Amino acid sequence: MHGRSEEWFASFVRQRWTSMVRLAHTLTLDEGRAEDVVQESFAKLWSAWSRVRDDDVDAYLRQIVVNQALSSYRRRWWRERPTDDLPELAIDAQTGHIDDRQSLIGALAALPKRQRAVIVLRYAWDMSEMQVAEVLGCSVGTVKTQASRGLTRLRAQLGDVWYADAADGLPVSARRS
Amino acid sequence: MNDTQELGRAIRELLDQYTPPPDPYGWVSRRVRARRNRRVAAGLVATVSVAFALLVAIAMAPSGEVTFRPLEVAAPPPAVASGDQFAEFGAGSALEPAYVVSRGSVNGRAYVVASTTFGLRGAACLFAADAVFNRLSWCSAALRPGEIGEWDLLEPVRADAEVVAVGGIVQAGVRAVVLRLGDGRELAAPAVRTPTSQRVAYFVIVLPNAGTEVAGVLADSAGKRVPLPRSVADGRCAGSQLPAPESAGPAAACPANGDEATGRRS
Repeated sequence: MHGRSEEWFASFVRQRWTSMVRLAHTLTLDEGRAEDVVQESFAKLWSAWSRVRDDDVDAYLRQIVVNQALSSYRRRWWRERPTDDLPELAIDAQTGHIDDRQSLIGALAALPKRQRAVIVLRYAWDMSEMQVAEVLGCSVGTVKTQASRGLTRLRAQLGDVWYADAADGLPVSARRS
Repeated sequence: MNDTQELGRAIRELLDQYTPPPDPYGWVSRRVRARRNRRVAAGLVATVSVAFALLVAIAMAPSGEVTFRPLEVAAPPPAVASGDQFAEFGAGSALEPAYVVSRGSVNGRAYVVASTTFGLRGAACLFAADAVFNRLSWCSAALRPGEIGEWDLLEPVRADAEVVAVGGIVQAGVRAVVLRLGDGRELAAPAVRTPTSQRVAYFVIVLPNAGTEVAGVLADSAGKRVPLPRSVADGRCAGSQLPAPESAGPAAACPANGDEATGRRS
């Protein structure tokens, strides 16, 4: 096991658990499903624990989580129902701010899963286009294309509330914070 | 801060209220055990499935008949190609001289089919009386010019032997025949020449299943296959005319193979 014991693995799980659940959640948009994905990912990591180099463990785990999250769409009980009609957005009457969380989840859920993965990995987890391409097993050009299309769709769906009134160059939600 | 940075921050914070379980490793270790158990179970299922599939494959014929047992085609060995003399009928029997055409065992029962003339000049007959055949006596008359041979179901067989037997004659130059079953399978058997006749060779194939459907027999001469007609009894060589094995002396008239006369089986 290359000197790495089960105790080390247990410690590794406890240290990475929350960040991996957050990663999985941004891909699945469901907390329970994200925890399930992460459990399965760690279990898979354990089966390869003796073969993974120390400096590759985090990247390997992240790869498993992403793949597991994307493949979890094939499981019937997690499958989403795509819809063109996004839920009504709750707008704060005083500030004009929307319920950002719900609107963002709705907009992300409307993206195709791999397009959503590109957006999430590229912008939420600050991965380079090269890294995203490696994780998703596609070309850098595909990542660029998917990122561009994804942003366009998000802008189209969130534009009125996310980018409106951005004369100062900041989106509404940025100014809110 | 640009809009993509703000978007990324907002996405990251979607789960900002998340509270991890007290010991996530406990969850993971249970999942590891579950995966291991699934693999063990899957391995067992796969093993059982393969074993079951093998058993079914062995038990089932290609036609899907579950009860069809492996064929035990009793083709005579090359040693009898010249026709070993079969002397079990007893000296002086009307069956003498007789020569082995096919000897074997089917469904646990031994049998011997011999060629004989039944004491009739030029006759080409098959005879058997054993645990499989109940006094089989089958005769064929002359092959007309152009006729390659003929075949027939050999009867009577004992009901409890549960067999189907096919036999017949072909021109002496034909070395083998091909039996075509109803399900498309084919079985080859040699044509055996015996001193009984200089003009024809004999063949016998015994199938270990009473329900086997026979579609036809083909003469196989150097790769060229010619369908053989099934013999048609015309009464001129009826069983009642054939002598019992223990009787001595020739029977009455029976068409002699090689003559132009026609006669068929009992």
